[in-house]
Amino acid sequence: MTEDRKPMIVSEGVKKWFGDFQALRGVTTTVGERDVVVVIGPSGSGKSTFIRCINRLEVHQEGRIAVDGIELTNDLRNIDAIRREVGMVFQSFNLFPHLTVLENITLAPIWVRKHTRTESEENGMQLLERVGIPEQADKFPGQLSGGQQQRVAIARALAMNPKVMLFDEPTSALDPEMIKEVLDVMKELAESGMTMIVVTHEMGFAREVADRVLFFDYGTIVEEGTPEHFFTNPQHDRTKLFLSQIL
Amino acid sequence: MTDQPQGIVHGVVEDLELPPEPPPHGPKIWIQENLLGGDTPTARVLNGLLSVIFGLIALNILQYVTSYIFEPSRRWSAVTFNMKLMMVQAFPQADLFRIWVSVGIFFVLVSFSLVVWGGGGGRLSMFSLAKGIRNIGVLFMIVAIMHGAPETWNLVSLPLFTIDSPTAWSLARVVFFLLGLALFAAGFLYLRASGDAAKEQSVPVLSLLVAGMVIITTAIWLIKLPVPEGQFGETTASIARTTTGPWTILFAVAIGSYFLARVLVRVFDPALIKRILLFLWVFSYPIIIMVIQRKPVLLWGDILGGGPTVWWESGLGLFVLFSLIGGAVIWWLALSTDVTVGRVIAIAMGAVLAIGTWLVVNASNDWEDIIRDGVPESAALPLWVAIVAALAGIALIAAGLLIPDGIEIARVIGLIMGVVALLVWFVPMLFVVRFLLITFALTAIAAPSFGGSTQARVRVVAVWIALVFLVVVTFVLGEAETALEFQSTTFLGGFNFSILLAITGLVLSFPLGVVLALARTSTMPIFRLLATGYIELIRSVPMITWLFFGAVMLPVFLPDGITFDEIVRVIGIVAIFNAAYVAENVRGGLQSIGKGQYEAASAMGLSTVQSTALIVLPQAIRAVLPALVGSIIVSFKDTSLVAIIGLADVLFIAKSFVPGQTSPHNFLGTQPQMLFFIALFYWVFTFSFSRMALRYEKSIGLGEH
Amino acid sequence: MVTPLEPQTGTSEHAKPPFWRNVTVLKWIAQIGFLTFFIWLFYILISQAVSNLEGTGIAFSWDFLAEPLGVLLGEGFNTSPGSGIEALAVGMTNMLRITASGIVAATIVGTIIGVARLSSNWIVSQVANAYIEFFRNIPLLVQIYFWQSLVLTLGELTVEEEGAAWFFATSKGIAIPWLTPRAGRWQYIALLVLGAFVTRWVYKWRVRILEEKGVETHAGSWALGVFATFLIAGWLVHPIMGLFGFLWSALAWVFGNVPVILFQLVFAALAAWLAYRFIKNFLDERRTPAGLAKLTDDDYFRLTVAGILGLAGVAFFLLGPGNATVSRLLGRDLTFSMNWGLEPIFSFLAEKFDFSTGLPLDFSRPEVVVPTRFAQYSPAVGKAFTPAFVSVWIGVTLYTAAFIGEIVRAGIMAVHRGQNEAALAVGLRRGQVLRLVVLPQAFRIVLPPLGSQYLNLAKNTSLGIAVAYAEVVQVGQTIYNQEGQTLAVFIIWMAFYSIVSLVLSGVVNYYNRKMQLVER
Ligand SMILES: Nc1ncnc2c1ncn2[C@@H]1O[C@H](COP(=O)(O)OP(=O)(O)O)[C@@H](O)[C@H]1O
Ligand SMILES: [Mg+2]
Repeated sequence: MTEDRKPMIVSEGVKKWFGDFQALRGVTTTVGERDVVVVIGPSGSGKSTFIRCINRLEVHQEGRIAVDGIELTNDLRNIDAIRREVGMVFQSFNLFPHLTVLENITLAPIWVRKHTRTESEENGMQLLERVGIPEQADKFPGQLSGGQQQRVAIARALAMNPKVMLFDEPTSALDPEMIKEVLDVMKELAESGMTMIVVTHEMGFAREVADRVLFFDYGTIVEEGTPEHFFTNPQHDRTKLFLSQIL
Repeated sequence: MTDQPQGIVHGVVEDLELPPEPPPHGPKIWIQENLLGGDTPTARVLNGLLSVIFGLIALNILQYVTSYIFEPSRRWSAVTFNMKLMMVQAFPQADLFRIWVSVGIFFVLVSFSLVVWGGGGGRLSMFSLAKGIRNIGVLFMIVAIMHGAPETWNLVSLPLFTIDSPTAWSLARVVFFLLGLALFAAGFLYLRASGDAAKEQSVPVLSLLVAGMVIITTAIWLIKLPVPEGQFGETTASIARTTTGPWTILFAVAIGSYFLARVLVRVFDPALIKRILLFLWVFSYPIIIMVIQRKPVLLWGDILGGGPTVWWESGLGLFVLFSLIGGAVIWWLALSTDVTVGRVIAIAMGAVLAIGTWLVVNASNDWEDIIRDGVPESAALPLWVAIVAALAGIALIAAGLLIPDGIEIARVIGLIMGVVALLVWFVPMLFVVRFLLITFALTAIAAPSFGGSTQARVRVVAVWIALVFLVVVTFVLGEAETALEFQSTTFLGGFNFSILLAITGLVLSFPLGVVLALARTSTMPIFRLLATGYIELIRSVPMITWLFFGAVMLPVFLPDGITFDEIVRVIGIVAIFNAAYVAENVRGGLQSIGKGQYEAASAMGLSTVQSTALIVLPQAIRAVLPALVGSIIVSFKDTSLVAIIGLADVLFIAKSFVPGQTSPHNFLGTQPQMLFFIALFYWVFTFSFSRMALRYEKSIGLGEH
Repeated sequence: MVTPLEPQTGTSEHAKPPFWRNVTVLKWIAQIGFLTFFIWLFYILISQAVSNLEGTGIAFSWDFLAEPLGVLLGEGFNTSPGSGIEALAVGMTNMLRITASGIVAATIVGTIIGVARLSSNWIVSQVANAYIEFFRNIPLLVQIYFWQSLVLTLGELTVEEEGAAWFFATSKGIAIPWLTPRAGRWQYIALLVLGAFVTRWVYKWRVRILEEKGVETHAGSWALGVFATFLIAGWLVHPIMGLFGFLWSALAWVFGNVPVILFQLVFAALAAWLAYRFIKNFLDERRTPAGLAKLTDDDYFRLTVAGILGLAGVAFFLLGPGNATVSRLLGRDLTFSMNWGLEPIFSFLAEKFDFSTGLPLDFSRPEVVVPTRFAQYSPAVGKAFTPAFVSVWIGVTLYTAAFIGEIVRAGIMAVHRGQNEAALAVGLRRGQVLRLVVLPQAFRIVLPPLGSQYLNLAKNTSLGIAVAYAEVVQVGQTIYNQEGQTLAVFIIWMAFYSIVSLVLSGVVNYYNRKMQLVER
């Protein structure tokens, strides 16, 4: 599936320590353009740390990461460039409570992409329509439901026209009836050809949308493969154990 | 998990209702519950005993106070005669209207703000209003009775004051008692008559305010009190004496502008009015101090050029030069994508810096002196300044030649301008130019972060021009002599000075405090260390030592030729002192912001400067506003300390000036009662302000529940 | 299935970015640049000050500390001090006197006010409320002035009042009965210190039995009993503590006769050891089974600073300045012509600890004497407080008590209402609920803000200068008015207040941490 695609994210032997604790023990993988990769694994296995390394929210200490050919180093220029190309959606939404929904969305286009306000607002309204809540544009995040907030967060990330989207357990903080509305938006995004890395426990989503599944444990990728491979014929004992617990 | 959005609800501020009062019972049940309550008989007896003891203590204190106040030998005329002295000290009589105009501006702004933001300041329930009136009535009656009480009523008779209580019911006492009775009756009867309905009814706070103004105005026109030591040969005078007219006009202006504002918000866009009002709040204050009250003598030669001043050293010349040349550079910095322009700018700036340094050094220095002493004889430029400046210039030229990226050239320009801003202190030049260069450096560093679309670039350049204007005007006004004639070192004194000190100290401390708080929470260890050291040093040493520092030591630390007025030094010290406390408050706010906010901001590509200015600070400051309002109160109380270093604030005048007067009236020995008055004066101010702060705190939903 | 892919060329692989784009480098350039600027600014200001002072003819020096100066202080253990340092010492003790007693009194008054504020009795809570609103909304300075003017309106102390009485309150100040220390106090105090340790041990021992056996062991009563025994029996047997005299003289001999270089070596070793311990602990924390973890640049910064400080300490103690410092510390060299240092201190103690049987304390009533034409309080008996002391003490105490009252109230209210109800539900009475459940929990909440009020109180004693109370700021001002050494006096002020603040907040933090440990 991935062989013919141009590589979008390359990670080679990425290692990361928090003080004396090693959270990543050499992660090597490649994500091609338009790939949808789902990352699963037990809590504390380093999933979040890995995808946070990709947009430099955490600094990896060994190994290398490149996004769309841009090497992630101390270079300010590269960091800026990568952050402009990578959008991120957090488990706890992290919307800015003092700005309206529309202001949340237009913030980065105006200040980072240097677009005009009118232009950004038009684009922002289109994105809100895409995630299905144009009528909430002038409300504050505190006035929205969790599902709506997460959809705003997706729209906010999309407003930067990213080439890659990272999702860190986007539905974990949501009530069950709101999970679907967020997953629908994500599916639509995947179909439109966005490169995505999604940390999630929604196995239905993985089965339906993912091109590839990575299984993390103890800071490394223990097993990776297509969803069919994963859910029908896992190889590794730890994978089997994990899947048996979660399914 | 913890960094969920805080869910602050904006815009809609609901009127907070008071919790329902318990159902009204008869006084018997009230006494049983509130004075004799308890689960067991012993507890009830104990409670009763406590009630009696505390009641007696309270009554005793009340009697002491009232006897003290109404004692015939008290000379309260010391207060009334010296009211002007305590408010504005030596401000010349002929220019007093300037003070009234200042107060008037304040009133007008408050009126407008009430309309635009407050919606009228909320409503007060009739129930609590009536209860308040009833209780005040009771208090009046008790005071009237206690005042004449025989001394044997005192539990402890302290030999503090010789009280010869008039046991007879003098006219004043009877009037006071009847007034209390009337208030009590009004409140009581209203509560009786309307019963439960009183809880539903409410009056706007604003109409109470207006009623208060009308009552006061009527009172100052109608009520005449006997003047025992009449100054102008009168035997009676209005209680407001010479200020009856001004107060009436001011109240009228306040009420009038309220209604004007209500009309204006209907006609114009309220958002626009809000913005204008905010602007006026910020700028009216310096204008009041520097123009209206100070009455500067403007030297047009200095402002427009001409006479001994070269045109480019005049205010106008500097303004034009800096806003044009600086504006052009900033225009480019605000969207630094065009490399060619960037190269030209960097090389030009570098050349100016390097060649300018060379010219200054060469023109005024003897090289042998420099090499031998490090400092030239004529002391135009220390050697290291010349070297650093030349290197900075060369670095700029090199950046312009070598770096192929506009944004990075902009970054280098910002960095070098930061160095230049430090160097200017060691190069002889006009003081105002130093400040303009520092302002330029700050703007140049910030411009890339806040520029972008044409709209944004225009805004950045507009801010720059406004800043230049502000700096130039401040200097022109500051250097102008005042035309006021007064017999003291400054035109500021009394309460006017106290207020100025409190507000200016706080306003100036704010930016410094924010910077310190950011440094203390930064991830960079050296900044953290320095900020922590500053904050802790300032906070561990008492304010009075810092004031001494400002009064006695500061001149010693300043380089030759730079002197500041004592008042300016004290204001500076107060600002530096407050900054440490502001920083601690703001730090609390910064810590209350979840890590997720920072992460979301940087994941979107915002730079550190941008996320700090757009995401972090707005939330942090909103979170600590109540605490900051609280520190205004502390700051106001603390201004009284300047009395110790001999500055004539309201306390100093009341304590030292007035009791020393022997003519036209002899007020020797009035110190205790002047202090009594000053205590009351401060109390009324801080108490009402803290009540307003509490109300505000509750209205934004941060108060206790 | 994963084909190893080369990244697209765009930036050269693994290339070091130029320094002006390197985040780490930029961070450190900014910090070190600013630090340099800061140190340099400091240097400029100080040297400017020194040269300006020289210009006025008063060169900066510490000499005034040693030289006799002819000032009279309002009060203190020595009202006509022989040197600057003695005068400052008087000021400092006067300041500490008010701070210590004020903290105790303000805590008591404040707690009463805070509890009263929450009373169900309407009058009690209203009186407490009035107290709080009154005292905290008037500037402290105004209050102090007010108390002063009040004390000065008290009656004059007249010749007719000569003789002893229980209480005097006049414009000369207030005099009350007092326990005056006598010769035996040193042994008695030593015995009480010993008693405190024994009491602590007994208490822990009883608690241990309670925990092991699960029976009520009355630990508190035991401890109280033991200490009371020491208190009472010590009155009679305190001369036995004269034994310590031998120990003190032995120590004095050691500090007086062992070569200084040995002490220097000890201190140098101590500095090196401390730095070593810090670095070792730090690295141990970062060590993983797989080897040493990667250190961040912040970690390197700490290690470097620790190393530099350690080396600096060693160098300091081994070189000339260290020799001078240690000699002074030991008392070999006179510091500001003061007989001060470890050797003199222990000699002094050795002198005080003998086997003679003097009373430790002595209760006496105040007395008015008329040495010349004017009446005054006798300094030998009772205790007389000057008007300045009284006005500052009452001022800071009542003022701080208002804030403490608010803190206590908030602390009690913050204890969860459920706690209250649960306690009532298990059958405790109201008083017991307050004593056993609410107050201990409230104490934990209250402690940090209480600590900052104590700091405020300590700082507010400096307002004593307004009524000429001879505390450290007033004494300092007197000195620099006479000697002109403003800079030196400022440095002393800052050092003194910083130390007081550090000690106070250290104590509060210690208890705070202890409370938090108990919580777990
Ligand atoms: N900022 C941090 N400081 C210290 N340890 C951390 C930090 N962030 C994560 N960790 C640790 O790293 C490990 C991996 O965390 P994470 O990537 O969040 O796991 P996952 O997302 O798979 O649940 C966990 O054991 C966690 O405790
Ligand atoms: Mg996670």
